[in-house]
Amino acid sequence: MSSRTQLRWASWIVGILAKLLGLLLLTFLLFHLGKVDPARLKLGPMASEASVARERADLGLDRPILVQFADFFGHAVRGDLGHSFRSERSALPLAAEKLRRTFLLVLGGLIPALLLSYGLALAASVWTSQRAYILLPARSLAILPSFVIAVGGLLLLSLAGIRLSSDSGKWAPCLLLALFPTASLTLLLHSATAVEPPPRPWLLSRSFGFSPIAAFHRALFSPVSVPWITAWTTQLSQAVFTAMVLELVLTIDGGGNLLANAVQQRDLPVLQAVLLLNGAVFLFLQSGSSWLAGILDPRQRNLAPPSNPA
Amino acid sequence: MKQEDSTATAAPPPLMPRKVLKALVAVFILLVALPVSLHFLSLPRAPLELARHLAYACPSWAAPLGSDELGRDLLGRALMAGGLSLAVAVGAVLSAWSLAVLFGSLAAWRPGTPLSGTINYIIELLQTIPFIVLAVSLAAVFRPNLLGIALLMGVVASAAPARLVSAELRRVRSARHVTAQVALGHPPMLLFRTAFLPTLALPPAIWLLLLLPELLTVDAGLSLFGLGAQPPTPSLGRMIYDGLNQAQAGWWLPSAPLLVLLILVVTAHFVASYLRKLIPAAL
Repeated sequence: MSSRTQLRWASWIVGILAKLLGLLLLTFLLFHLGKVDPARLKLGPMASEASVARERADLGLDRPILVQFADFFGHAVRGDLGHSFRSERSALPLAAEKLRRTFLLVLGGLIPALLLSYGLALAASVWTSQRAYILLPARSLAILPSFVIAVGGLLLLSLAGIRLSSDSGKWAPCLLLALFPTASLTLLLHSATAVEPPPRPWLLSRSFGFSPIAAFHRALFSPVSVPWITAWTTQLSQAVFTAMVLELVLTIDGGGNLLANAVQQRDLPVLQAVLLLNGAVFLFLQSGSSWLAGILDPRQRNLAPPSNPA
Repeated sequence: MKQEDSTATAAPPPLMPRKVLKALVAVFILLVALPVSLHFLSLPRAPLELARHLAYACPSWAAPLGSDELGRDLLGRALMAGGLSLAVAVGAVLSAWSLAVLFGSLAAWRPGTPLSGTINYIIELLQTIPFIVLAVSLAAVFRPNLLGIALLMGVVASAAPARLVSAELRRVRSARHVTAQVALGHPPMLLFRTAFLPTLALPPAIWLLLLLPELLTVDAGLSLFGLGAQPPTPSLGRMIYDGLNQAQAGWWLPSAPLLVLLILVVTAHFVASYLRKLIPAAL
């Protein structure tokens, strides 16, 4: 590994660690910035001042703030964010268990969206006479936020007599979740590939005898694959939002219901765990997408860690 | 050469051309004033008025979108909730725009300084966390009122446009008219107001206008999590949630708030797309 590559790797890792540290600081501050004393929140409004003072000492809130942060940091690194105020379960494993379902739902929607958008953009490029019909659903759906599509879909299903619930399987929430990303990714790919007049690489590929599908992949798709992957990553935030809303409405026992309960019960350790885990997963996915961009497009390698460490 | 000189010393374009201003006023009237006026002037019943004998009443002339389990008029409630959602989303856009211009400029004004590094770091950090999770967590801790919700959403939404401002400032500072103004000895504030602000203000404004439909849904989402407007004040998210849970009692229960949200989102989308085309053309 050359020294330049080592430097790029080092700066990439330092960047991620710095963001993780910031995330931990933000999570820590969440506990301390509220208007109400966390000890009072834990014990409830009827608790006596003496028991609140005792709880403050138990939670370590009477120590200097820097000492508290150092203690929090040490525990967080070991995967301990304290216990839930309400269920007495350890907050981080509880949040990890519930958010795992949310992220599975998100991936269950976003991975098919990736494949479907590729297929639809390919179909629109190859069957030009049918392009308007192929793209019509995408054009209609792309103007609506994911939340509206998902809730509207639920309403239409219930009007059709299909009442979804947590027992009706994962296919319907995943499908509802996939609609918006599929539409927007299809339009992105299409706008970049359906250029008039056809670009020279496309004409050359066709004249060399490549099939339309092979020519699409080689000449049209490759140059836009990086923006396509980046756009896919930017869908994650909306997808998490929609997944949580679907979990709430369909009473799926996932991150959405956990977050709603934590908000209503003002369960600060669980809120901290949800924030930290979401941030860590997003950081991982964002770093992964920039790494993937480096593989797909060599021009991106100065911005991302090298795809081939050797 | 002569032409280049004239370009170099030409005054920057005005901050807000008259055409754009008129369009913005028209949009405001259409989106905010009209529904609110309709709501207060012509509805048969007040949105919070209970009428238990009309519980779950079907849509009729008296209640065009039906009524809920307490007999409250769903059209009135949905319009009131939509108006509040729109006000919060517009407030979030305005606060995000102000913060983006402020922090984006500070980040790029003196690159390499600790202040610039800290702001860039905070901006990157805000972009690491999903919008709704961050907004819900902060709102759960601070328990703000509607104005606070708008400010909070503005803070979270300002990260991406602040980066735009920062990039734009770095690009503009090497422009000829800026070099000329620096050479003429213009003080920093005058330089910022006349040379930078007109160029810096537009990219985040366009970005945030396009984000308006999403902000409307985020506000609905916050109310779904029990934040934002509290009962008996109606909110779109809570109405949709309650309506979907009671959809078997009447299809109109979730339809009314969803229809209002749909109209708001689609209108905001088309207005934002129109303004995006209009603003660069006007400048």
